[in-house]
Amino acid sequence: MSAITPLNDDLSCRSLKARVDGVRQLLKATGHYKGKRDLPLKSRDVIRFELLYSRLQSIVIGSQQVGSKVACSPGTREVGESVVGLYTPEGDAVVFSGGIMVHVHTMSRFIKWMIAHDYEVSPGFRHGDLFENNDTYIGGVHIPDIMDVTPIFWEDRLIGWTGMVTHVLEVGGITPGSMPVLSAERFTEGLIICAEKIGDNDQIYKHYEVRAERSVRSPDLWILDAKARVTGALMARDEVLATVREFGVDYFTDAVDEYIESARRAQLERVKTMLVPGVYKEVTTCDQIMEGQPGLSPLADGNVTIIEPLEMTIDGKGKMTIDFDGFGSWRYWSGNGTPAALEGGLFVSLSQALNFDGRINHGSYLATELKFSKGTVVWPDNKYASTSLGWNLVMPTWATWYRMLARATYMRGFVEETFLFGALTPCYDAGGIDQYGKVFGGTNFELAAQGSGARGIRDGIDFGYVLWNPESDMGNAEIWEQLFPQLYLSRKILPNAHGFGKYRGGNGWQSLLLTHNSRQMVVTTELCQARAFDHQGVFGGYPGKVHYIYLMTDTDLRERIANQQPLPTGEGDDPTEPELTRLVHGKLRISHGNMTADKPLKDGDVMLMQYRGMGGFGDPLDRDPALIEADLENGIVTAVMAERICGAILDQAADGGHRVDRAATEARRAELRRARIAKARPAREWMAEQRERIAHYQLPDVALEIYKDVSSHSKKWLREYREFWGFGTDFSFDVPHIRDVNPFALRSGESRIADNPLEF
Amino acid sequence: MTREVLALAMDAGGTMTDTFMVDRDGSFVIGKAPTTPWDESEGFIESSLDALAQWDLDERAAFSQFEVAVYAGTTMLNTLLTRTGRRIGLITTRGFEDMLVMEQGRQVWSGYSYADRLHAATHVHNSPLVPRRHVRGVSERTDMFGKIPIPLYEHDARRIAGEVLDQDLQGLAICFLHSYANPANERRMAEICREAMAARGLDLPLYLSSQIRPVIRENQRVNATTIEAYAADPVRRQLHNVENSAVARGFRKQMTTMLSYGGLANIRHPRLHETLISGPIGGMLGAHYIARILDTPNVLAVDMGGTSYDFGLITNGTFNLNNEPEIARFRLALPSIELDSIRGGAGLYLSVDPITNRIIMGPEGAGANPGPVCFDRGNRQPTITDCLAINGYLNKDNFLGGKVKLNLPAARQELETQIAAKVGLDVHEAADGIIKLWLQTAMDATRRAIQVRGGDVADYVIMGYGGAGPLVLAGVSEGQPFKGVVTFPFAAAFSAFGCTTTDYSHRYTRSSLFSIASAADTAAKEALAAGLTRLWNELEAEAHESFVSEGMDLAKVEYRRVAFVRYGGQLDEVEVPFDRAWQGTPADIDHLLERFEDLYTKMFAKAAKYPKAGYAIFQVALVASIETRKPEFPLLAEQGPTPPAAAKKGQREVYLDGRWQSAGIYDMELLEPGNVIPGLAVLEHPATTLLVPGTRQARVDRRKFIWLDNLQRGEPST
Repeated sequence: MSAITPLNDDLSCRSLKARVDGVRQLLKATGHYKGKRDLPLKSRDVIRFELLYSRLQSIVIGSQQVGSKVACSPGTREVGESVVGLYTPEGDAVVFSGGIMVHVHTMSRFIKWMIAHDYEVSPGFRHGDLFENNDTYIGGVHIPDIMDVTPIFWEDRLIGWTGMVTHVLEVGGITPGSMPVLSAERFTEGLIICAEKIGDNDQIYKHYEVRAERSVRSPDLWILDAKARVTGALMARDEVLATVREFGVDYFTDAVDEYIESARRAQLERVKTMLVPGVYKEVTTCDQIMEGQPGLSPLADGNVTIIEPLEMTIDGKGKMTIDFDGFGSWRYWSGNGTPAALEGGLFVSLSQALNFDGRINHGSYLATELKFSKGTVVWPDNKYASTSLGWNLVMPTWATWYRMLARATYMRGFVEETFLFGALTPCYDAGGIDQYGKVFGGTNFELAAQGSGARGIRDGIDFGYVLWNPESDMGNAEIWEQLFPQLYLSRKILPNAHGFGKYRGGNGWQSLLLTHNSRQMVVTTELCQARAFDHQGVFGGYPGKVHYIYLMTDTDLRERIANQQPLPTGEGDDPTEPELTRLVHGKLRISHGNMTADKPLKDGDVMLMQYRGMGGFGDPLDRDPALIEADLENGIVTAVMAERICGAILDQAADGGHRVDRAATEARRAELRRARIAKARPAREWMAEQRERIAHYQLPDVALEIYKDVSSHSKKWLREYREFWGFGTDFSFDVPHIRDVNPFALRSGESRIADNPLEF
Repeated sequence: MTREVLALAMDAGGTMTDTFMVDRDGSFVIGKAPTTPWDESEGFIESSLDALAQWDLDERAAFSQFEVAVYAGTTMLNTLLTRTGRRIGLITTRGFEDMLVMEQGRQVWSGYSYADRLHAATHVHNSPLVPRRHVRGVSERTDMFGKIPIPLYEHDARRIAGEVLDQDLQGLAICFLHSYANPANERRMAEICREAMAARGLDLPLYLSSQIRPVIRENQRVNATTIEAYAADPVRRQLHNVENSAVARGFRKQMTTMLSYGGLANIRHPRLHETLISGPIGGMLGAHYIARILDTPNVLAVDMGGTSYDFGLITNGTFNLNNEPEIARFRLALPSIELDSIRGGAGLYLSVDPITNRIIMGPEGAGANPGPVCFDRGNRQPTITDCLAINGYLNKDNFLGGKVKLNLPAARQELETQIAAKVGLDVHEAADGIIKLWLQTAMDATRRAIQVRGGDVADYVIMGYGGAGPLVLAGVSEGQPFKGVVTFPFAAAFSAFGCTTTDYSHRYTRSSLFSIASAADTAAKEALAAGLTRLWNELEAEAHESFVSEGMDLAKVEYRRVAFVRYGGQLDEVEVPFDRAWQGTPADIDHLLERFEDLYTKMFAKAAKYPKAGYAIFQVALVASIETRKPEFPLLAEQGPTPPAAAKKGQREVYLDGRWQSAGIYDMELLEPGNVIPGLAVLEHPATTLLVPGTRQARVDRRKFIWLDNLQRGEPST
């Protein structure tokens, strides 16, 4: 073990590996990034300090714009799925553009991984070198998020890195698209680039392109996106070098360190100002119901449900600790996460919820602490466990954190910042033979604009938000029809998709897609929530609607069109009698989870995708009648649900619209409140009854399996569970008749920080 | 000798209506009057009378002499912002009836600052121009190839036409999916609507997306179409008022207006939404004209206003076009001269973040009313203008020609308590720093604009205009190797001036579906050439029809062909002007693709080239124009470096680079060709101020353009 580095040691003279170690030790010894107790540049001339920051921010934003223009993916060009960042030599994030900010941190992980694994020695770092990664254990959420970085050299001195990430829409996995839901092991995820040097002298190697051409279904998407990333990273590098010439290299390197230390301090201050200290607990679940689906690996758990108990501790100094202790074992499914993915989620969450001045960087991360247990779904001890749908885990997790944050901001009086953000965002992948007669594959990124959760002072954002990119967008249907052999029969509001509340969640929408000009199209759906609610409300607000996916094959649509009979546009106002199934005959499959089509779709088959609405805020009986009228006008709520859930009594207006009868509604609401009280039971009584069920293991199998698994990992969870229900240490879920969902997982017992790249 | 006037151009902004009047000798005069939104013809007349009075001209005689009169107003923008347009309906493809309520997701954050784009809690939708109850869908579908897999359901169409027309509307828009590729279904729907109107004795205007803007992306197309339907009528009314009031004073021609892509059009032009961003475009046109006079191909034009800082590029003598601008938070399909705009105007509010102790500029600003603290109209939150005022950049007694007296003690006090004390700086030092930060933000944005388009700052001349453009010119060019830095005595009415410098021209666009492999054979090139010829011929026929209906002489029309080229699979394209006579041969295709490769390599890194993917052309355009008579800038005799005594107004203390320095104050209007004014100096005009720092000198050239030479770089070089 190396000794503590003296504080005055010049980090710049040592190997990168030693420097990374030195930075960590200095933080531990002094509490400050690189030991910076003072911020001399900032104190001496705050204006110059801000001038450089402003310049660097301008550089990354401009580079993202340029890079995106080269891209081929509608994901990058049409809906902004990219980000550019600047890093210190040690890989600590300094400044970034907008976009998918989760990757500000995953790129950081990638650089640190290369350093830890002696890339400085071989292949070495030189001006013009290009490195690429999409291996999630090295740094990432799932493999379509591909990152390219290049070192910045000032003469012979490495002074930083620039990099760009894009989400590529086809990755050559077991099924077409970018997020194969069937992937249980990494070998079926697609083309994985493991921290590889892909070019030098600012040029991509030819063999890189050759491999892509022969390994993915839409090589143009892959290669042009690679060119986009390289363009963005190189432009940022050159601009940074021009800036260094202007400000001086020593000023630049010292200033970036001060930016990080400033952000660390600002993060602590912000937390102290905006949140109430204490321990917050929230829980959610995520799942995948895939049993019996075609193509499933023999290893795979068909049906997986993961419990996600999250604990956030805010201390008096503003430090936020987020503990994942209590998450279950990793599984043979596509939804495993990695610490890098969860930490990346922290970045995108903080940047929207607390640090929206755009000053988030590695310092903000240093002011927080994330703790993981090895062997669990957030840190598999099997590097081959698939993370193809890492977001399946990451999104519900951060949705939980947002709910905790909503309580914390509300308690502190920052009601206008109280916001439930989002949760899982369903989507579909498709591939086969396209309308040009070519092999294709892709993810339809219209998913990138769904409903948000409600806000503390108004409804959520309708059809315009996803938690992983605040600059959300669904693009144009006419553009997606260029990529997929499909005709949109509709793109419209999905009524009642939001969680009801005093302020409702943002509403969702639906697309009805007719297979057109293709004789073979494989379809899978992902990032769906099947049996669990991860899009809950707060303070009496309801969760969003359960979304369904309808697949209808061998339809009579062509005949209907020929006969000019009414065509469907979606689910209609009543999901118990969907418009689609009323109007069209064919072989129907309805799924409310991730799914693989049994057979390739062909001309005339239809799929109805639903994009979600999110949870509400406050009691729907407190909803302003004027807001109900506006929702009725726009088709966001149906009259039946406005009456049933909000207690609205409606009159038909002369123009055919609805008016809420204020007086009658007030009376009806009073009646509903009385009925609620009449139905209520004392909590003590209810708990005693539940305790009896638990004591005799009279719970659904899925719950018993979750509890057995979690309690085998987490001493803390088991202790708290016993305390809560009043059991002694003799009570355990470790009984033979409950299935062990993953007997191979490492039971590490306690959560801890996971920042040593050599462990990955 | 009697003065003979030639052209009149007017730019009606939110506050003031500026007139630029030019005579046959190239002399010009500027008039100003308050804008009168209720009837813009009042402001029009007042502003022209203000100009005419300075030349002591008779109103009727002058109006009868004008060859060209251009009016660029703000009615359309105001109509959109205040939602006071017509009651219109929309018929769209069944299943897409919610498209205006849903919008494209990005519209919830469009027009936001960087910080607010991240801060999702602030995101909100536009309220739709057409309420949902006035929107109907008809069963039909055209696909991307222009084929019709679902024919228009005629019975459906008739029923819906009836339903919509029974709603007491004033206009009707029709937008079907992929109608740019095949307009048949939209046209048939329009026929059915006309039949239904005839049966009801109605005559509503119909707006078809395939006519208004036949390009891909339904959200942008429907926005262009509904904006035309919603707001064109009030604009046309205003333009007719303006024309009538001119005609009543003897004007014998037709009034013209400015189109967003830089041409003039008769006010009867069928696509008036193309005038939406006409005002700022005037400045770009002026810059373009002067660039030609100066024989400099690359220009960066900057206009600093109260709330926004606008800038645009002229590269190799041509404008960049933006095909999807955002206006009033609507993103619409509308080719417009590309102007970047950041919330960086001089009216930006200043504050200190209580958590990070950082100075925050904006994103909101004080606007013209109540204005900065120094205006003394009730606002107590300091702005950048207050920094400029207390540090001596502005003349406290001559702001807007003395119409506003600046209260410096009030501004100083608010800056002291709200900003300087919190960040531990002296108030003037803080103001100096804030001005520097402000200028750098503007400079970074402008540099970025050049780099994003693959240019090099050293190839560009920077031109500053607008009220505060000259004031920031030195700052935004500081440390940057611009080829030259220049402004003009008429900088304050530059947009109006620009309107007199453009040709009568229209731009026509069509979506297309051409692709060609990188190593295509002659037959493939011939096929592509034939396809392009066919489309350009169609556009030429459209131009003919339009020019004839506007009474123009077809013999004078010149055509310019443009193709939008991309690598196969890409979604962004490069606008490639075809710069020689089009013969429709394989050699022309080779030339077009070579031009694309050249432009692409300039815009992006070499590593971004990918000819292997082949090429695609999904849009073509034709620009048809007739040259108009323009102002001239004759070369005047040099009068020596020393300015006339009358031009020197005195000295004033200016706080710059950390200390108070004495600056010479000059009257800009009295400077003569050849005059050289060393920095530190302030050149004042009633409506604008030019700052000349100590490292620079102001040099008046033989056309009376004012150059800011950088002495440290040894300028002027000649």
